[in-house]
Amino acid sequence: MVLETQFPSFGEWIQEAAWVWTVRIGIFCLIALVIGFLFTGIRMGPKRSWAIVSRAVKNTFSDLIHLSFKRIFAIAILSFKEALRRKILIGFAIFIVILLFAGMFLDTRSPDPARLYINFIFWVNAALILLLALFISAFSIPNDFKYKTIYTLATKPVRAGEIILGRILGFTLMCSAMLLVMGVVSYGFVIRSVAHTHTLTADDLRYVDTTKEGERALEGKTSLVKEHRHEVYLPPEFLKNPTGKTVMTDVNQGHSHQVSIVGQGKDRQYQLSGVKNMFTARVPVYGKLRFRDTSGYDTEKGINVGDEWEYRSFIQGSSDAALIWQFKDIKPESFPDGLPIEMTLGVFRTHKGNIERGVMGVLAVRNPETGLMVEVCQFESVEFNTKRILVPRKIKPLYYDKKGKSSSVQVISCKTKLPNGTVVYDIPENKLNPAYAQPSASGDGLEFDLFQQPGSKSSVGRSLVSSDGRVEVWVSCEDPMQYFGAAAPDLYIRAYDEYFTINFIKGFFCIWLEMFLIIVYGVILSSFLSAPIAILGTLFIMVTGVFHQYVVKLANGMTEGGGVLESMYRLLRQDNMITELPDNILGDFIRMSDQAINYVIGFVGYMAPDLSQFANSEYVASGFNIPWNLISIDAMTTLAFFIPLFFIGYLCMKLREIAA
Amino acid sequence: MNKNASFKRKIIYACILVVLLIPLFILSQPASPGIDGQGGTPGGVLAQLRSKHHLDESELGDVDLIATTFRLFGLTPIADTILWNAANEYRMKKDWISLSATLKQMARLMPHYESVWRFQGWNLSYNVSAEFDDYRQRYHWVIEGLKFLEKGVSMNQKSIRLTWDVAWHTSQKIGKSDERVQFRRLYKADDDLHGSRPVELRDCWLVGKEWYLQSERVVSKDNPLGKISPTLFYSNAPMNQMSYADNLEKDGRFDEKVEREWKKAEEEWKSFGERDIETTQGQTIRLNNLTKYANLEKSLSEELENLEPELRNELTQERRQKLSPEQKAAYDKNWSDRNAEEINLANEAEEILRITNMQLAERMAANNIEHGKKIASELDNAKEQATWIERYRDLVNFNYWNLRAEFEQLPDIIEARKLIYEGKKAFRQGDPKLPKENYDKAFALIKKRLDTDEFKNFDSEDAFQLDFKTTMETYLKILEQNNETIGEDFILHDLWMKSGGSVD
Repeated sequence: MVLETQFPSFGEWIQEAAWVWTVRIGIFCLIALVIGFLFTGIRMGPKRSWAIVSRAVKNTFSDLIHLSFKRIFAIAILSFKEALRRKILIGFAIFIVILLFAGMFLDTRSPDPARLYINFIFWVNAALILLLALFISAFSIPNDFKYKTIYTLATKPVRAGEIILGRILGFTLMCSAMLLVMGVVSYGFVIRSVAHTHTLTADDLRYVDTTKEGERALEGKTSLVKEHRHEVYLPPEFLKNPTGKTVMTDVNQGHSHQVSIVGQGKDRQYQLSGVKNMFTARVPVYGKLRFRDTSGYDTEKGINVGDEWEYRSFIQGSSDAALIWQFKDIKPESFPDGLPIEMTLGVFRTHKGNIERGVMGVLAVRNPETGLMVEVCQFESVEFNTKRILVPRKIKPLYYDKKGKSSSVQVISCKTKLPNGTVVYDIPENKLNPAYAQPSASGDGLEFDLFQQPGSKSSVGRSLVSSDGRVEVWVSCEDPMQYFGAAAPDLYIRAYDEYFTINFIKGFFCIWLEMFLIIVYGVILSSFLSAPIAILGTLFIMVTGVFHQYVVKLANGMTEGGGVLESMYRLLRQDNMITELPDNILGDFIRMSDQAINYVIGFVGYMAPDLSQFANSEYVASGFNIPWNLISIDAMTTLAFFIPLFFIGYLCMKLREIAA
Repeated sequence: MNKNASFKRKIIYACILVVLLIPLFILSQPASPGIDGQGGTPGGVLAQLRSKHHLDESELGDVDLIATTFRLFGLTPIADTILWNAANEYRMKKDWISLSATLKQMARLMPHYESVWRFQGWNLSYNVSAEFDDYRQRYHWVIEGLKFLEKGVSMNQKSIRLTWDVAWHTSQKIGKSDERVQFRRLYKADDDLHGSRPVELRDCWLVGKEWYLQSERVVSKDNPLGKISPTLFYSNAPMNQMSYADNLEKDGRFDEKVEREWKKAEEEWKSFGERDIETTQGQTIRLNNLTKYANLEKSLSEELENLEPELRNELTQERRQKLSPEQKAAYDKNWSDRNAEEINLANEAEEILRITNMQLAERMAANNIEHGKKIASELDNAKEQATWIERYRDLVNFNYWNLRAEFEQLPDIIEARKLIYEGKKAFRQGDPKLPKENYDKAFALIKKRLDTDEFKNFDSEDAFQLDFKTTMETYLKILEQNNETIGEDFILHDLWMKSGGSVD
């Protein structure tokens, strides 16, 4: 999965975010108080002003402290019923209609249909629930004023904050119920849409010779279902005794099937299971990527092979260059069988080479503490597909002779050249111990352990994970003039798998957070604006939030084609985007106006939450677990917006004249 | 207002509505196809106009409900802009699954916009497939592009270019790319793609030919070729037959089928030569008619000159008198000795001295004038035809392919190709002796044929020389391995020299 920006851990994030948030909110409150004090001071004198402002602050705190959940809940129930009366269920009907016709849009021939279906489902759910939240929340309070129902509330001992919170809670409950139902239906839709099996008959299979003389395996293809087939290979050992055993088909369209045999002789039948490994929630352990150049120096970036998108950097084949990932906190109890590595490498060929096979590479593991490095295996690259390699607990080097000599084992330190030309080593060369690469005296020959044996002194120098849990994975390209490329998330250790259903729920929780924010904005804006203006305002916040990154780029003047007026000028003249503006008064006017417009866009843009941050469907679609870390950040961001917005809404409601 | 008045008013409104519906019905009544073409109606005025100007969506191809719905709400341009941007982003970020899905959505939005299908079909087959390292994945994307184009054809059944594109992609991308050996192998084994098509016919060149023929069938008076060159367009199908026959040999087949397929290629090429082709100037020519018009030109020219044999000389002398001394001097001077000014003067003189056939006829004696004019007119026409035919033949290398098809079907040439194939194979397997023996035998057979009257000029054809040069690449390696070089005694010495080779 492509992860263009790495998010920090929740601990790191909250420290910085909480500080920034507190300071900004504090400054905002202080400015509000100063302005209030100044205005009342001009009208009534400083002494009176001080008393009024103090009383207002005191009342506000008192109001907030004495909020009654009972009253809030009563208003929430009222809002819930009101939403039902406004035929909110029409939204659900639209959702069902979209699902019914989804098959017309979705490509069943896609190499990864699950990804397509999940992305589609999340998009539809988010779009519908956000629109629904927008409409019901922005109409609420203006309607109270329009139909005079606010009088019923205002005459009761209800605080302004309770009205706001009640409305938010009521609409949130209503939309949550809708989202829950839509989520359940969506889950069923995704699972059912891709569910299938194939048939396999004796006619589909043919015998093939294996490397072992006299042994024959069966290979063939399954029937065509949902526009695809699977290749099947039934090894001789499976054919000899198939009882209770299964083999897997190849992976096609992101899944495989289990093959089992029932019956014997002429009655033999091949049975295939439903889809396997399609819906996963892998929990990856990511490492930090660095590159080794052809001279053997570590660098932050590799070679650019001319890609417009600079996500991946490349290394040259048949040279000292390597892609190096360093992992930390690797513990034997987490990985008792070894390190299950998954990688998706980019391949760039400068010549055709051998078309029939992929570019060859070598995977090695290095202990960053001792410098011991062992080549684990050779592999054939498969671009844009995930390659799985298990680095076992007991590692035999890739090449070694009978005497135990091996070119696949070495003890090395990594060097970096600083800008001033000084070369820095991660392990001083005089501290490297070449004996670690020699056959062990304990008689296990050239075998290395991934982890140190507890209490075994001899295993210290022969383990590949350092005592503090660090390990490096090196990937190099073997073919001359061919290149491997990668970005940090392209190689990870698959720690374990979460349940897909839980991951799906996590994805919907992120939509719920978006929905909650839109409800909050809708209710707050409607507390001082008329319904149509509140809708427009919330819609603006929503659109700005969805395209937040673009808005920020626009505000900073970093978009192609310039600002609003500049783009309009080019559109009218049918100029292309790189044409310079005229160097005259008109050009100057456009530039200056755009700067002013950008300033306004920036100001408004930063008031809206970045909703794209909540769109985590790609994790679910690509089969990766949404980290709790990320969900915590999203939840805290929601809370960070909710608190000041509620406060603004409370003040607006309090200041509003109910019976004018 | 009483109840009665209100009721009356409602009745009047209803009547007006009914009256207004009548012209609406006349205007917009849809056409009905009837059952098996029988009993259908042409529909209202709008339906008839749509049909007349070929604007009816159902006439273009399959009707897409989604596209129609989007058009109804005026959302096509917005959706399309978003999708184009998304497609560009996905392409840049190498998210091929999303790209493919976006392209399909885009095409569904504008199902009758030929360029979308063509551009994005090419994108999938050529650009996206090239991004993959594994040839099997590349093949998958080539086929994705092909299927995308085929879908485009179903939505635009009268599109010549789209149909032609399917043919081109099938033939050229599978049959001529770097991975052609692997692609052709996968293409033959692709049961899902071919369905019930017999394995023998699962050759990209044959399937491509079917599509070329289909694109020919789409052409009609109402649906002309437009800016497409008819010579190139109609040469594609027979050229594919040549490539098919050629590739049979490359795949190692040298039986009677090869002879048959080359014969078929010759027939189809000749039949292509018989096709009426309209030139850019509006004349209709046939590529096979070059000899006919060349002979006609020769005989008519002789006939015209023989009417009054001395007349052309007399006219030339007469005009020579009209030349200025400078023009005369420049004209008489050897061309290589002329300076810039003299070149201009000589050109002017040449223009004055040039006597057209019609001018010659007009100066004939009274009893010959009419006859002379008729011959001159026919002669000019024959000359023009021959010139156009020659020009159009050059476009498709007509003569070469004609000779090539005749040449390749000869049993001894098939034998020569077989010897070369086996020699090359033996060389790759490290055989020290067989390769050279095979190549020498093959060259002897080729030489024997080139010495015949029928093919005496074949070795002057550039394409033949290029083909020979490719064959020689392996032969040179064989010689190098044996520490030998090409000498003056090389059996195809002349051809080798013409091909730009050298001898030691």
